[in-house]
Amino acid sequence: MLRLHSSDMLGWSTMKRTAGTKLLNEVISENFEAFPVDFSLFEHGRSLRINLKAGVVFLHVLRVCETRFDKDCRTQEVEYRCWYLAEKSLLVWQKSCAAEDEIAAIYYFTQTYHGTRPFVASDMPSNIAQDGALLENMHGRNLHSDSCVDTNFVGSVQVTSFVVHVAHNTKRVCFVFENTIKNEKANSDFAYPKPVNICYTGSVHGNIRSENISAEMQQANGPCGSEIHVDTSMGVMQIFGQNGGSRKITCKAFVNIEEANFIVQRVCNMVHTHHPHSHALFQSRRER
Amino acid sequence: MHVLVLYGNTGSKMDLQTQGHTASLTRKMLPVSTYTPCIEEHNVHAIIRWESAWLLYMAFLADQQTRLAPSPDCLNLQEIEQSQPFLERTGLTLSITTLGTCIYRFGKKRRRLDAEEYPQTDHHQQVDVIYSQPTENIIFHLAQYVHSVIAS
Repeated sequence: MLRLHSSDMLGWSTMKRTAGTKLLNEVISENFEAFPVDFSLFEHGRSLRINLKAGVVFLHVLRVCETRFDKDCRTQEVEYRCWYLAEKSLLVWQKSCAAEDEIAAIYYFTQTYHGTRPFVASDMPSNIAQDGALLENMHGRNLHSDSCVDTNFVGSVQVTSFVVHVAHNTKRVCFVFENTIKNEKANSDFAYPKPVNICYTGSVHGNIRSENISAEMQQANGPCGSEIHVDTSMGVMQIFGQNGGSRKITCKAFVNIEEANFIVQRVCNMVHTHHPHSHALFQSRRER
Repeated sequence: MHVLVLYGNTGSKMDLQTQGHTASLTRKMLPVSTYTPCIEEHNVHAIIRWESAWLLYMAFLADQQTRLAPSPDCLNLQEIEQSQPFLERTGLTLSITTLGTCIYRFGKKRRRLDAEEYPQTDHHQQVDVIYSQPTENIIFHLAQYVHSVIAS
């Protein structure tokens, strides 16, 4: 897991869980010894290259976000296949990208090999550099296709690149082992808060007779001292005893006032409260 | 409204120590609150308490970085002003875990604090306070704002 330390806040923050950060967390946790403990960022950020047995990881941390909400992690997984043309002292690389939402693309590159011994598979991770640096692009065509055969095929290597956008004020990045990455419950995605339980208190005005309620509801006294208890799919409504010209009511376990008012209105209609002010007044709550 | 509970997730691990990121962010970005830190040996959640939802709403309006619209859809200034007395008397308690689970609980202020803030008022007298659909929409919107700050 990446922990980000900023110049104007205490402690650390982490990236939101996305497909990109989940993959990054997995790579860090599975190859924790290969990563440094932390590194400080330069003015524009910093790049890191980690050679692993399974491939190469590029991590580019860029201080580009204007606001704290824009933190982002993008990934690209690429496979490099390599042929060693000893007579020409050349390496031919085939790079293939096959992102799920992209059209598979294949590129070819050549690289002059200056080694004194034959190029072998274990040399590949350290030889792969950024596109266009050591590699000469062959513009989508393999000009040495006749020479690239099974006998001089060296092997393939997986390259995973992470481009992490962080806020301008991020000054340091730490790598932390996370042992909960496989635990789905511990790794919920970002979700804005949603109402799960709202309780309302209000009054119903008018002369509501107990006989009317009992006749309609056919229910014994409810809990919490209520005279009647109404279970609905939207929540629970409780009606308390007659108090002068009104009755106290509570609506529990609702998720919005619209549904609570709907239920109150329906119950009032069922018990025939014809008084002009006989609806529940959630909108004019009396609070102690 | 007696109590209103919302559930959300920051989608990231949280630093809940007293000198940690969440406490620091809360102090810097949001109005004064009381912060009860996470004590690893006993629990994995911290509690943050704001005594006035209205002050939170004012902070939200003043925040230049927020991506949320200043008010919920279809709300006018009058509806917002009508909600002010209720929001002033409503506090927010946020329980947040190290895994990012957040429980927001809006409810009446504690009676003692209410009495300290409004010493002239007889707190045994009933007071008319408007609570309406727009008030509830503001509360939902406010929870989203606090969540976006806490999760950043």
